[in-house]
Amino acid sequence: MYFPIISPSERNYLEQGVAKGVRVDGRGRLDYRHFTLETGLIVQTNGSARIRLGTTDILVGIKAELGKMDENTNEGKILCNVECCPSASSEFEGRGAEYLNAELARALERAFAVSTLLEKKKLVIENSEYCWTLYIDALVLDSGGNLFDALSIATRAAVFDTRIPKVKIHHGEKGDIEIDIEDDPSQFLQLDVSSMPLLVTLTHINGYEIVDATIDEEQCMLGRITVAVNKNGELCSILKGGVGGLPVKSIDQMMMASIPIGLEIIKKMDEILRQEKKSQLPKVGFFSS
Amino acid sequence: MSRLEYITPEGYRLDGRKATEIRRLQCKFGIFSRADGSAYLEQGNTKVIVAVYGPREVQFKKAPSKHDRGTVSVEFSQATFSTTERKKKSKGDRRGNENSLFLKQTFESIVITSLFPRSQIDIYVQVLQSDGSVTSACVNAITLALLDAGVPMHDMAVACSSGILNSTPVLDLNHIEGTAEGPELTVVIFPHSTRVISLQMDSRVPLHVFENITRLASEGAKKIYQILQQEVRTYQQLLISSGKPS
Repeated sequence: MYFPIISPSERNYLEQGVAKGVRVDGRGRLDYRHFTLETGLIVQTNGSARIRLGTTDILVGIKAELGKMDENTNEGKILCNVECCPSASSEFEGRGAEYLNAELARALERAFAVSTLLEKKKLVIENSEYCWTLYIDALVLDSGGNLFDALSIATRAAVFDTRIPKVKIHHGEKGDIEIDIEDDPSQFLQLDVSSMPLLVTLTHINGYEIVDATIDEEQCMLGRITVAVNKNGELCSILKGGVGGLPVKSIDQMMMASIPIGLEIIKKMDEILRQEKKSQLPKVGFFSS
Repeated sequence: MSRLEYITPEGYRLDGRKATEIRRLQCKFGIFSRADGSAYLEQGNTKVIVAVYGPREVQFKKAPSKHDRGTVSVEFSQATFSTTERKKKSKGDRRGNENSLFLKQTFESIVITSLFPRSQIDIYVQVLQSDGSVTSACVNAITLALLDAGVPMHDMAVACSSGILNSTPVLDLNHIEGTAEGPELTVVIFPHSTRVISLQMDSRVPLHVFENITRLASEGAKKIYQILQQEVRTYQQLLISSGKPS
């Protein structure tokens, strides 16, 4: 598929290393790679973010569009869409990444479904049947493994960066609509991401679980569990991937291990976002760092 | 319909440029770990990334391999958030297919395909942000990515767009200027011999005007070539000094 080819000796070396607690790049089993996160890179979006976790490179852009609310609901809409680019792997050209895109998008939507309920209510324009629809579009530019986690971090950062203009809608005499956009550029609607969870993937290799698998490690896995963890340490969604069958005890262990990892990543991420907001440096050159 | 003043009487355009001034160019090489060659190019607010794979075995039966030369295939894709209004389909739409074909035909004459028969070069273009002159930015980015991949070419192809605004010939149109009433011409040249490889224009102009803007676009492309050549040299020095196999 889109995985690189790995030889039996490499596989053996990797599996034995995991058993001893030392992975190929020197990390421990539950160590995350260092990641860089930037927001506000694409001017034509309402919010954007880019993450680089190892060689995994994901860009998320969010656009807000006005539209009519669905019947019998009083909330806006949030739609996720993921596209894996051929720059990540040549198998992604044309429609090659169709299934992977769908799987990633569904995992994101499922993780955010419950946590964004309150935020969706904020997207409604008061006294009207109109609401904002947030289109979250993620581009996977390069893959070094662990796409689920990186996607959730970049999406959460992009939602944090999103600014939606304040809008008032008046109904004219003949049933036409008048839209008033707030003139002041410092007045905008922002969404609260503190309740949004992050995905944490634990991969089962040779009887042990590791976090933040690289693409070679994913080749050697028996199965994996992707868990959505929020800042209260609650699990919001669980997804099992991979073709092998996992023992139930192992699944329990993986879920318990994911909670402190998820909390730590949320803390790290919030710190990065706080620094970015404070510094307000103009972003010059997309790939400047 | 109100007539927007694209050039003020003092000669300044909407973004503050003079008529024959091109936008700021920035580029970076080797940005993706798994592609054979890759490049990022920024021309003003237009941002393009290109990944190149090849030469390698021909992948699909629909484009059979040629016995005496290689094939070049281009896939053009625009991010849904690249334009002011969200695009529903990033690839496979008619405009995208037309661009893919234009780029494929351009680069089939640029790459020395006789050196790798029965093989193909795959070029994947992704537009991250679109602010006019997208086709020229793509051509320039593809040239850089092919250089990074080490694919043999006859010369470094560079492209530039030109047009007429308020009766003044201008270079390197942005999105607002591109959608104005005047013509928009994209030209791809070989800078050393000033030979035109590809040309694209969708407007109606008198012949002398056409000659004028074609010449202007070629001059603009040469300016772009100067900048890109400098960037390539810098990257080359970086590779040599770091002892990294490319």
